Amino acid sequence: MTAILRGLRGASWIWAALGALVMWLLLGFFAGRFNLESLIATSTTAAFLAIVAMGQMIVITTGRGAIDLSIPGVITLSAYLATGMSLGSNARLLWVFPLALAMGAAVGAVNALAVLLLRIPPIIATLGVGYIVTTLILVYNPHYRSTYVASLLTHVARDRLLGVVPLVVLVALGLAALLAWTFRATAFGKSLAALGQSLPAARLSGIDVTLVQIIAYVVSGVLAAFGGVLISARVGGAFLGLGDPYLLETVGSVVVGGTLIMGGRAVPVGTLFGSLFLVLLVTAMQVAGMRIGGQYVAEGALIIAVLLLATGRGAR
Amino acid sequence: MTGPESATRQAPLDAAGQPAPARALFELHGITKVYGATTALREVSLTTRTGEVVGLIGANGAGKSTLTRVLSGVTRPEQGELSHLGRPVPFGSYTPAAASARGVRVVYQELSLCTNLQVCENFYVEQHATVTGALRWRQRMRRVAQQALDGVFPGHGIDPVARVGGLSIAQRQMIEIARAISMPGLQLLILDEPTSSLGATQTSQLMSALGRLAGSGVSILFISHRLREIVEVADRVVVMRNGAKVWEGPNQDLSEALLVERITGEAAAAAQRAPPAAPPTAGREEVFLRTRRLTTETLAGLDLDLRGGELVGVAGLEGSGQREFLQAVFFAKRRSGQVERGGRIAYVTGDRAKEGVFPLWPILDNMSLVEVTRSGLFRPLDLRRLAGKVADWFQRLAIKAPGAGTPMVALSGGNQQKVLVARALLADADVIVLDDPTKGVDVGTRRQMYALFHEAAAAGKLVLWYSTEDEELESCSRVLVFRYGRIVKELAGGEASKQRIIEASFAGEELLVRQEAVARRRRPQLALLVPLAAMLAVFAISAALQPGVLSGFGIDLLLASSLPLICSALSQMFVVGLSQIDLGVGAYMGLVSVLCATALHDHPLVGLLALAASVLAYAGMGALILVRSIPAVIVTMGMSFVWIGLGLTLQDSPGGEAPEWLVSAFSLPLPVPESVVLVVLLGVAAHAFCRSRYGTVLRGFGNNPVAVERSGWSPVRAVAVTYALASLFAMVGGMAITAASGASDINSTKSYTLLTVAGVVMGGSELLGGVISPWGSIVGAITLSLLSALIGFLRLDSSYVTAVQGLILLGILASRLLRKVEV
Repeated sequence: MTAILRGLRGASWIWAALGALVMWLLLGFFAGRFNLESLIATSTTAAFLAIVAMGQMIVITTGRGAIDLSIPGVITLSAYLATGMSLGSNARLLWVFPLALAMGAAVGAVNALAVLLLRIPPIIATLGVGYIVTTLILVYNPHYRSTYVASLLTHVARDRLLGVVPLVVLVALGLAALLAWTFRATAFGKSLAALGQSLPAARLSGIDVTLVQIIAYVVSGVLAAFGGVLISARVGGAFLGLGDPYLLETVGSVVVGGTLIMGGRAVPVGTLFGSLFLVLLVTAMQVAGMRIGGQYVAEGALIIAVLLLATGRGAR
Repeated sequence: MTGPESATRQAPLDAAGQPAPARALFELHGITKVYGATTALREVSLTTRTGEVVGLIGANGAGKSTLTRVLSGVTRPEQGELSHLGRPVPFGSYTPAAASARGVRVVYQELSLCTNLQVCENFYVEQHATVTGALRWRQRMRRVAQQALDGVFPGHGIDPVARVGGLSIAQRQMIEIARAISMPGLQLLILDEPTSSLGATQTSQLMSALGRLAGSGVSILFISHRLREIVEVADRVVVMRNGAKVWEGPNQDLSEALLVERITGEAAAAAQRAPPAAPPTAGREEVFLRTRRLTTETLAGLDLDLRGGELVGVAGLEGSGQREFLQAVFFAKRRSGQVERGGRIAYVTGDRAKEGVFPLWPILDNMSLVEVTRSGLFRPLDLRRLAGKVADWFQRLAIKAPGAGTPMVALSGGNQQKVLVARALLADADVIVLDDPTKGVDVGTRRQMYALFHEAAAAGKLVLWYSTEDEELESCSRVLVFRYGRIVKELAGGEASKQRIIEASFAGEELLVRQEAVARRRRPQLALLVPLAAMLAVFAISAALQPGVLSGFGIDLLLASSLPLICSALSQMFVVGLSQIDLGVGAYMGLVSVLCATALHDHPLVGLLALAASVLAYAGMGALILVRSIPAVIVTMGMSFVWIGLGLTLQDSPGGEAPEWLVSAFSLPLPVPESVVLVVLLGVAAHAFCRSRYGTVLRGFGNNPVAVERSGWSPVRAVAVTYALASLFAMVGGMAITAASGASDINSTKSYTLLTVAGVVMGGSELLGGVISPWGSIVGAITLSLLSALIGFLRLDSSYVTAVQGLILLGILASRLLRKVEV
């Protein structure tokens, strides 16, 4: 019985893992050599993506076409806050970091309010909220004056444990493990998956569907803000449009990882591998000398292709 | 009523006035249809003859609906043969369209009208084959609708140009029936519970219309739970039970009682009988349910006082407020004003597919969910203990599956229902609400459930049991009989016989509030007024700040600069009409602009081909979204990267050169500003399309795709055409950008995407349900452009533009919700 379960669950993320492996081999082939170092470097990049993609995954799992399009805006704003307000001081980080997370939570709460209370479709609600966040960035931008990153952040974003495993990769792994446990062994995880499968059935099972969805949007906002803080440390500052690539890529990682786009099933481990796969793909395209236009085309086409395959397997 | 008439009805007459012999029209032979673990039809044979009314009856899940779906080409059976007028028809080619071509028409239980369309437009969607020409079809359909309604329901009082959404359920049902009967070339009419929402007058009108119709040689298959109607109108009766035909015979000496016997089957009826009524046990003090003037839309002031230890039956004709009662009790806060409840509550639905089963999960998660939700949201669950409990109930209920890890969807209906019952019992709920839990469940399982319910009550729980099968409730300690949202009778344990429940179910006729009288008001004229007023207001403020705005040049400047937004908003509008959103429209417009400034300039032929290819790509994208049912948001978002990528490949930095003819096409020497002309032309084009025959069908498709497909329209074509149109309008926008700037920049158009949605919504289109307004979208787009100009006039930071636009969009959507709440 458990073997069947494991088999079923395994099938959903194994493809992303295989894809990442194949991509890595291809990359080695292009580069003419296989080294662990390049894998570590790409997995660092993937870790940043994975952290924010986990939030996207949680929102998507609420089902019926839910999606968080405000993630890029939150990432950028949080990067601005983290660098612009901490001014490179670890002490200031003590309140700047919570502030950034609170900003993410607030954006998530506004999203939830618009979706649940005002009944605006998630796409529009999060898109609209995202635009407002973007405006906040534009307003804040002229006052922004720092390219200094607190050393503590740099440490987390760039350093490695024992010189081998990047800390941020550990963070992403820990997050994935935490979420995997949440979906397996907490009422929140079960409720989230339940309402993504069938909202009426979830309501009749006594789930507070409003509360659970609010939490989902808030978590997504917080993770985007958290990711934004780390990303600012990685790139050494903040700039307009910093978060933009993360729109398609979060959705891509989630979908590639076997999470159902129609909701009801989240696969945190899959999202991890999905992120790795996407980053490897981009790296491979760069190594192969593909121009940026071609990369965009390939990424967009890939997501659609994966969706075609995923729905083809008769998941729903 | 029409009883005598049907008995003395004359045989159909042929051309010479002689009675025409009834011919076999459709013959089904040995039809078997299997859905997963359940056999919906087992070796069923049925013949329909010209001029004959066949009454098809049976309990829920007997296979009647599946049989009609086979006849109408919707469902293809695993086995069996079909012949039409003596010629065999292979099921492979028997599609709904093929059935429709042979004159088969079904009036479904769930209504299949497009509520966003007018009555006569709905007639067109179905009777399109009879109409030619582009202009006079509306008048023609109006006449057809009027005549059809007059023919069946004289004195109906329905305006053929009224929007269906504003009509009552009864009126919609009348339209549905009249439309089917007026279908040209009608040979077989299938009516599935046609009278469920009709009043007495309309029902008798329908009965006589059916008599006349049969007299003219049409074959009729009449499905109804109201056996009196069957006895009245049918020439021959077919009884089905558990997917098989169990009796067939002429309507001679049949009575309702006799039919009931045939439906239930003598032996089965005895087996289904529940254990005798148990006296209420002394319930636990803390388990109770009290309602005080419980009033909702359906319920009219219920006062109840129920305690633990009782098995309370909830009965009445379907739709008399029973479900609303159960849900009101379940969803009420523990101590709301109207409902007071002691003990934890759980709900067991009989509508497994819609609101019971979690299809992605195995039995384990499905069964344990209620227990799981009892725990704190983030407290670790004791998974081992849960699995143990599930294993217990799995065994106790003898669920037919290899184990608790079996996917829920692999179970038969009866076993799924066992899991749902176990979901409530496993959580040890004190108040158990049963919402018709034995619907479509086999006899053995039913017995098991009866025992469980009694056991629960005996253990001091309060069990509320709603059932559509009255004999089940005979074993309850008391039975509440509902009618029109009130309890018209309360039967104590001993006296609750099926007979008495049914009698009581028909009581309280005087409580009926006639629905027909209160057709809701609509506000179609207002639709364009609000956005127009908003535009004028913004315009007035701008003019006050900057008088130059009022000049012809000022207007030209404003309109010309909003042209791309107007085009892309119209493009978005068509997609919104399908209840989808195109997140790539801005990027696509950018690509078109780049194509214009590069390929079209350097190699006009290649450029034209590329533009044509992009339209095909759009159409293909739409078809893909439909065929594979992938969310449009993700696909269009993915495609937006493809558009941008292609644009970057063609031109990696802003530049290029606009073809001269394109520039001059957008700056013709006209007496009026060209921008005005263009906007009017765009509006007229979009409006004309929406009003056109196919445009009407597309709008209908956005509202009720199933119904439109049933009427023989191809959904793939509908979506592909819509997306192709969307790309054409966006293309004009892209061309306008290049013509105006003389060059192109792929990154300059991304911001249009949100604005298009805002413009469309501002203009009065609905994000769901096929309600679109071309002129409104144009007005909305102009208003948004004006707003950004206004922010400039006010010398505000241009950074605020996007926030203002985003806020406006959210504000409009929110205010629309509030308005709906008021109505």
